[in-house]
Amino acid sequence: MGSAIKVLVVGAGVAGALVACPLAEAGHEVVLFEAGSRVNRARAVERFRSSVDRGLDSPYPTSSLAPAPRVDDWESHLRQEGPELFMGVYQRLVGGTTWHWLGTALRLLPEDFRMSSEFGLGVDWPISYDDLEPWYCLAERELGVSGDSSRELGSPRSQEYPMPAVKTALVDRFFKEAIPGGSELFVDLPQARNSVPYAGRPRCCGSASCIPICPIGAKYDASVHVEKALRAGATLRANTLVTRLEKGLSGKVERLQFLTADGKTGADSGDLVVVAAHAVESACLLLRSGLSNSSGQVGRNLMGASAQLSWGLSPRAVYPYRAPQATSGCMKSRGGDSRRERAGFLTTISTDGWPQYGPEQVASTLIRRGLRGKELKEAVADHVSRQVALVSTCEQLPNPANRVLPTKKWLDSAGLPRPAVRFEEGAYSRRGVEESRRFHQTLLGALKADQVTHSLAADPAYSLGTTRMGQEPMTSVVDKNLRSHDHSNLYLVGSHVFPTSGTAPPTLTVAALALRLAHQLTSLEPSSRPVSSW
Amino acid sequence: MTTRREFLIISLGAFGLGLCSVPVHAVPDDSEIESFLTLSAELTGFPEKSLDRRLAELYLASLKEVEPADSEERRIRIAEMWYTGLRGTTTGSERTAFKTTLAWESLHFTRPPSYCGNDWGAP
Repeated sequence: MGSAIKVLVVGAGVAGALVACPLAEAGHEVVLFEAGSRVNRARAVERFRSSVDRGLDSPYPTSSLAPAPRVDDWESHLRQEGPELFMGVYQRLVGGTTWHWLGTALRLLPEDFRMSSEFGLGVDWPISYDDLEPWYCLAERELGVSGDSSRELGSPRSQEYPMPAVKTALVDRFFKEAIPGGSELFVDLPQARNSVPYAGRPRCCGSASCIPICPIGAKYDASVHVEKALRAGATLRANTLVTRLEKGLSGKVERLQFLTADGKTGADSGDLVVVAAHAVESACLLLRSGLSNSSGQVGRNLMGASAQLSWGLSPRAVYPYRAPQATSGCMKSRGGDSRRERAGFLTTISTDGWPQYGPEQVASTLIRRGLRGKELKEAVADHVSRQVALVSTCEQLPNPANRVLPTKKWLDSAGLPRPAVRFEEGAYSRRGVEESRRFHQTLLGALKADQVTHSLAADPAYSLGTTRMGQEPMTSVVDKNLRSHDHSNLYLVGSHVFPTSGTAPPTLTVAALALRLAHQLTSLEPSSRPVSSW
Repeated sequence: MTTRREFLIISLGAFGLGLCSVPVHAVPDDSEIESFLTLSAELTGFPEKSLDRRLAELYLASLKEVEPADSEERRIRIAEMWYTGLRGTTTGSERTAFKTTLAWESLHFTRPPSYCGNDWGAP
């Protein structure tokens, strides 16, 4: 190892943790700043169980220092300026939004990196699938991904998954049997969830609560790498909000200012600063600081995912609520020529009944229909056991008019300008959603499902694109190595650097990018720097 | 058919609400609980001895304090409280139970979300 450098990482989600961990292990001085709190898993599970609605946010501690969007109130942190709601929720916690992700660990497709060249849409990434492939392998080992290595999913792999595939749910088999070619159409989803004990964590116990919390840590969340970084000597400053970055005369980021929960302010300096605070907060930090925006692209090209939900009642029992919440998916509409016309999408089979209409809601409906006694009890079991649901997530294209901007007129609970969001999903995504609805109709029809219903009220909780990477400093914020075009010691990492969204959940790609960055940075030499201060 | 004791339980809330200037005692006596459990068993389809007495006390207290006066609506609410684990209070909805709610107890094939021990993949 060469001389140690000091690295300040803003954000302790999956991106920040996976940058911090290899750097700390290589002997560098790492300080990890996180506005949110640490999560005690047992207490979080108890909060979930005792909440009225058991919603996405129900397990997690909140704080005035780390306000975040809530699914029950879209105006709770973001100022929604329309024309459509932006529904990319995120958690501000040590471990970030991975606390409540589903765990589906798909890679992007090679063509996802070449949307402009292949389809004349959006932009190309400045890196290729092949550039990232070894880092996907490492990310799969670090997160612990279970998958069927013999099955080609459109993203060629040089190494096997570290664990065998997670057993699929019964409902998956029924769909496969109902559709001609169903076994080819639906594949085992690679999942950052232990199918066998792995990395000191147990195997999945079928608690059916991946979203919003895995009770035993069988599903990966980024607290794993935060803890690993701390064991390697990194420092964590939880409940510490980074309010501003300041540049020096050299153009480098010289100081980072922060605010703590007890109202104290402070500053720190390092050789390098890595901003990994998710799409909304990272962009707002740069815009508040007036940094890295010579392209004018910071905060722009905000993307989420459009979603289609459909559900029905299977003629026979499928027994939901006892498996990971999705174990099989359909890859066929993710890529290919149809993407010239409409958004690619990923379809997965839900294993946890109807959205927002579980056993308690079913019981309430049946009681109000007059059912009582044994008849009621049997009707609840019959209805719930036959609930099936499908969800498709469709890609969105970058649009500079879709943006997040801190608005000084409105302050959040930490006293910072609230993020205002202007957002419209666009016709390309809507066409993808329509096609996915037709696909759902076909699948549910083949299953002979009754009471088929379609809804757009889904929240895939993705936020991407607000500090995109690119070759050209005029049109992008960071280069292919995730270094700011404007400041030589500033790096950005997270889904906000994605130039286009693709149809894989972003987490595995974020992890691969973070690990690639960390390993590039470990070879860097230290520079002179001011002494850090409180 | 509603028995006299059940009628008393179903009517209690209206009486309580009628006397709203007088504090309502939330702790019911034993015979009141027994009657409530008998009625609850009939409404829910679960044996009386399987119903949690502590929950019965809470649900009965809710009936007295905030639940509607209409007798049929009260029967609905009794069944709903047992099945959903949610009871009304003067400040809103409150979760009294999750794992032992009858909606989840009705499902022989699984446990409520966040509880381990489920097998999947086979009927």
